Amino acid sequence: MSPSDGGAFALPDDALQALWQLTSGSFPTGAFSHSYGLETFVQEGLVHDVSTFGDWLAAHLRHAAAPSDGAAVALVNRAATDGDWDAVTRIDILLTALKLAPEIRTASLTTGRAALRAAREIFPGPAVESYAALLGGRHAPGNLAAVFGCVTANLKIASSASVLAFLWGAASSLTAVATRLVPLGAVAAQRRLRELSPCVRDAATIADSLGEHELHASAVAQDIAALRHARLYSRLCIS
Amino acid sequence: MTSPGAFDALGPLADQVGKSGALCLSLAPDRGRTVIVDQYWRIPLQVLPPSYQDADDEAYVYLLNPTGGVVQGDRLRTDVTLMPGARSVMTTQSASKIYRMDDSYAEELNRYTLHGDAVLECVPDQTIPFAGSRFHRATRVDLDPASTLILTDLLAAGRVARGERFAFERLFVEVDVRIADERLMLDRLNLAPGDGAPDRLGLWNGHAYYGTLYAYSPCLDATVADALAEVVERRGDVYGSAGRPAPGCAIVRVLARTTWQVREVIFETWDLLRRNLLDKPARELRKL
Repeated sequence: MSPSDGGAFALPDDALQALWQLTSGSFPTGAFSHSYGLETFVQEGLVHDVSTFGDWLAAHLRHAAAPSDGAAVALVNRAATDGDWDAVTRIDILLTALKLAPEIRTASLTTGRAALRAAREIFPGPAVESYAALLGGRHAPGNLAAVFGCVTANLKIASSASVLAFLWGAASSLTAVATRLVPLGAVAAQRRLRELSPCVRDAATIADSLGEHELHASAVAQDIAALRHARLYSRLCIS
Repeated sequence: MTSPGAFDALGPLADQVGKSGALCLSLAPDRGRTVIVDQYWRIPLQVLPPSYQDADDEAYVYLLNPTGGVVQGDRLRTDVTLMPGARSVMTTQSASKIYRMDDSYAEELNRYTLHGDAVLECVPDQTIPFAGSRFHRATRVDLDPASTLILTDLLAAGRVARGERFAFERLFVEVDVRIADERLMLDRLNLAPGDGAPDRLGLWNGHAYYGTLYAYSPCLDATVADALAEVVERRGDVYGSAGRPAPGCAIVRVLARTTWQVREVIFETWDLLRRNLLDKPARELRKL
């Protein structure tokens, strides 16, 4: 079932509420302190208004977030649902290796660990505990996307809905970050986010279709910006 | 090795008329210098006898493809093993031209295995995907914790001087670096102009040339990685930087408007790494 045909969110109310909570800004992952290189683009004048931010976000979703984190959410969700913990670990490790800018690699692991700590309290269950054991035994690195996939598997939410929620959460969080950094008017920024809804759905459909050998990250300039972020003179964000 | 799905949809490459090239090399130290101790090749891949351009033990090895480029259906495999103590610079004779393809693709698989304290500096010329080309390249490097790797990859958007930019159909380039099967760095670039203009903001940011350098050495510390970033960032004419994704590893990425700018930055960072890790400067490679 594709997220764009209206089927992905034919979920029980409880699962829907859990997804809202997981992707809400108040869920304690620390996502709000990460810009994934956006802060560099803002300081360099490449992102300076709602329109350039929208271009940046669309490229980020389609060519960075969806084919790496998004695809990992979907693959981990399916593997955890099948109880294939070797596959969960393999995908988690592959995702770490794919993050070559050190700040991006660290951001994914820091927010992942925070999300797992919270999820064990808020959404306890066997899949979350199995994953926590893998991380505790230093088998799985603990990327945010892997944690998200395990939590949604635990809630019996399909990969298509999981990845759409994950990417929407990323888009929403980055819109909040951009509103502070650029800065942007809150209403104008949210209107742009709303206009990008079809783009988020398309990115989710692609992410849900990729295999392990296809995970990739092709937003080259965004990756360079994430590398350059370490040397910015003054920074508001960790990445 | 499975190809990415976008290529699988085009049907098995084995059904295509194309060249099936192979090159297997084994290098080892022998009486004070690195020599080729075992080799096998099948046209269109060839190798020249090593030269010693640093006037030391390190072997400069030129890999040739005398057919002048890659066409639809080509399957090229290179497998290089360096024994402990072997040191080699591997390069090409000229740019890899990827020609237009009608309905299928071409594939290049490279594998490098480094044993003990072997040193591999793999610095090929740039890859130029022509209009209508589809190309999959996967490079796998298996390192020993004591070994040293410098690997560069230069890409052009096409035959830019003729106004051909991002006119290829699809390019999927992968570099997979591991130690004892444990993943260190995995870089996968999947570009298809059909998925949205590759030169837009966030992707190639209006640039037409891209270069990456991957390095590993047990002696590569944060100071060296910082120095790499400084060398790239102090240039105002390119968009690039460097970082240290894991202990011993470094990555350099650079986007530029001209081919010589990318080559210069990659050369400068290669030179810095050589001085730090091998105690000698880089040299302009002689092309034959």
